[in-house]
Amino acid sequence: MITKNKRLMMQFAILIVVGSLLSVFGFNCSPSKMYSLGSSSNESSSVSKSEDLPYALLNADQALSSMLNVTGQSVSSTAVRNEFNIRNSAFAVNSYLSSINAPMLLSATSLAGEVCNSLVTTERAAGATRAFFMGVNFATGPSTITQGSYDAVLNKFSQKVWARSLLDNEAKLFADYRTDYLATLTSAEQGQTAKTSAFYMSVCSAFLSSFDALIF
Amino acid sequence: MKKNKSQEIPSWAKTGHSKPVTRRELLAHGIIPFAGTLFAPQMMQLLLSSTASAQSAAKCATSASSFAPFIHLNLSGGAAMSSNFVPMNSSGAPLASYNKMGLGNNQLPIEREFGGGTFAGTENGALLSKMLEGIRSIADADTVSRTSFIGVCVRSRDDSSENASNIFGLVVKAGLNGSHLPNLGTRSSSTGVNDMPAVLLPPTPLVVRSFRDITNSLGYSAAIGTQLNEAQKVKLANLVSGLSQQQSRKLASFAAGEQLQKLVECAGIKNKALVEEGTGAVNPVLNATVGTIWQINNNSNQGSNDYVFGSMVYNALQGFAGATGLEMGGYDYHDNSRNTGNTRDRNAGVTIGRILQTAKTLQKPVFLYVTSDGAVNSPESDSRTAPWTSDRGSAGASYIFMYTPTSRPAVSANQIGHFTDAQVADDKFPIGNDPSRAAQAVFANYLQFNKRIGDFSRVVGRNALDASVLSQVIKVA
Repeated sequence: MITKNKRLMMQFAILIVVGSLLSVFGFNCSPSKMYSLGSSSNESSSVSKSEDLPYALLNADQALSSMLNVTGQSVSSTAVRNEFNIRNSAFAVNSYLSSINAPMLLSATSLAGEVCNSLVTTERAAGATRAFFMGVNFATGPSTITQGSYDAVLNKFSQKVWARSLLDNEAKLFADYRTDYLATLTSAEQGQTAKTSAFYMSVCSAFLSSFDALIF
Repeated sequence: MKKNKSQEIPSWAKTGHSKPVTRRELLAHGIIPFAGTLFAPQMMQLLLSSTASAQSAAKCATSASSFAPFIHLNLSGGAAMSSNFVPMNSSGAPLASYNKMGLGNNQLPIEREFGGGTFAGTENGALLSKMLEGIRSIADADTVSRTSFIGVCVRSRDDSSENASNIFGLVVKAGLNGSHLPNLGTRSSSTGVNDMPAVLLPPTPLVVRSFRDITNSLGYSAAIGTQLNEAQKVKLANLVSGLSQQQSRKLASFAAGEQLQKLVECAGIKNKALVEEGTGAVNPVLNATVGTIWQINNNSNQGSNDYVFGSMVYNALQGFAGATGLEMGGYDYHDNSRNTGNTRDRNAGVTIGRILQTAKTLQKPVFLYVTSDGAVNSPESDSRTAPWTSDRGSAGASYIFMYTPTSRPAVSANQIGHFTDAQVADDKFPIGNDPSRAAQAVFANYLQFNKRIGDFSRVVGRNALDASVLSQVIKVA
């Protein structure tokens, strides 16, 4: 009995030691988060260079790769590369969320627009093999967009881009956008097929340039 | 802790989702919860006093800041800063000799400008300070009469991007922000020029390689630009803003999450405003006089250096942009001649003159900070035009120019720190051997220029210069 108790106590002690080591070396005691950037030994300045959050910001190359990957495009078109070339300077050079600013988000949306334009062009011609716009009739104007086909597109993008289901408040924003978009069209434009393509291109752009798509 | 983005997760396929490869996806699958729950709050606490708070000052600015425009001109390579501005010793007298600094013996003629600034003067009918010559070629007498100058004696590392002389983070945290644009820079670095941040990491600057980079940042192009009308673009900006606001709410569970969430929210709100407003206001050639100063017009190449610098300076002075960094290359010019150095120095002077003259044209104040990485050395010679033969960062210096439309800003002295008779910046002076501390001194003068010196400790934080040092380095009255 005594031997058994000793063994149990030994096992318990080992567990505590292993747990402590894991806690210390694995999680809580990271390397110093403040380090000197001084150019000489006596420089005392320090700059916080760490943002060890569970989220980090994509840089320009990563953002473009992500946009292409989630939309199933293996190569970027000339138009996409051109847009990337004029937009990449607006992206962060580091991965800190605190680097987010208005021109960066705007550039992300603009770049996403060109990626989505390629996607819409491809899918429009793909017919039954479409990956994103299965129920969409690109041969009619936006006035004929059905709720069902719109919801299907939104759900598909949500899964592909955000790897989760669309939340209710996000669905509300997209519903409002559809209403707003239609309201900006003349009656003639509501029957134009190009406006349907433009609408879905912009919806796709919103997915690819939202906060959740620009972090990892 | 190393970020692990390549863990194989055997259970992902069972969830119906795509393969989790990112940290976010791994978190969503509960694979790396400990890093998030145990680690992040501590780091966010650090961020509270640094990066995030540097930006939090910006809030959702939709109008120009009350702080004076701040422009940083970086002469990359190690310019002869202390051979254009002539540093004095601790008594305010000339050094025993300037013969390692390419200026000969101590009978050096001194030209006083900007209310007492000491510059290498005239010999044989030619001004020795080519920077001053360049400034005078552009800035008129009235502009010069409303400008003050302070030379900062500080050693820096030669030919290095690691001199922590940049104060954009401090300036932003103090409250300078652009109404339309973030900080601007000309290099893809954390500061936008060839240096490193002092004390605080600044927000990411918009890198401007062409005026088009500025206009692009204020609107959509390509497919969205052509396929959506203006109203639709605004609606799209609104949608992206709304999505990002909602999605960033997850940050609220962290210590500084509210600040970061606010940042995302502001970026979205500002986006909508930018798209609505368009790009009309930011073009420098809209002001003909500014166009003349920078020698640009509607037909000019928007990627030219003149157009890039002109547009950056114009937007900084108008309050459209935040802190603005301009980098000029080619200042590692010790090629055993004086000609290359003189040409480059004059070019720097022309740029300084253009900045000051643009401020006068727009009737805006400006605080201009000029830095370099290291300095140059001449053979010991009595010649005042001796060639530059090697690097000599121990003789480094930086400059402050301050212009106000009403009158010359008052200063108590035109020099911070001093040189020794060894013809080097005195490393015993509190800021003489440390670009980062010298940068703090410059920041203190910027705050004083804005009558906000009381904010110094709050903004700089725990590494702040103490009161006794501040009393030695603040020269703005």
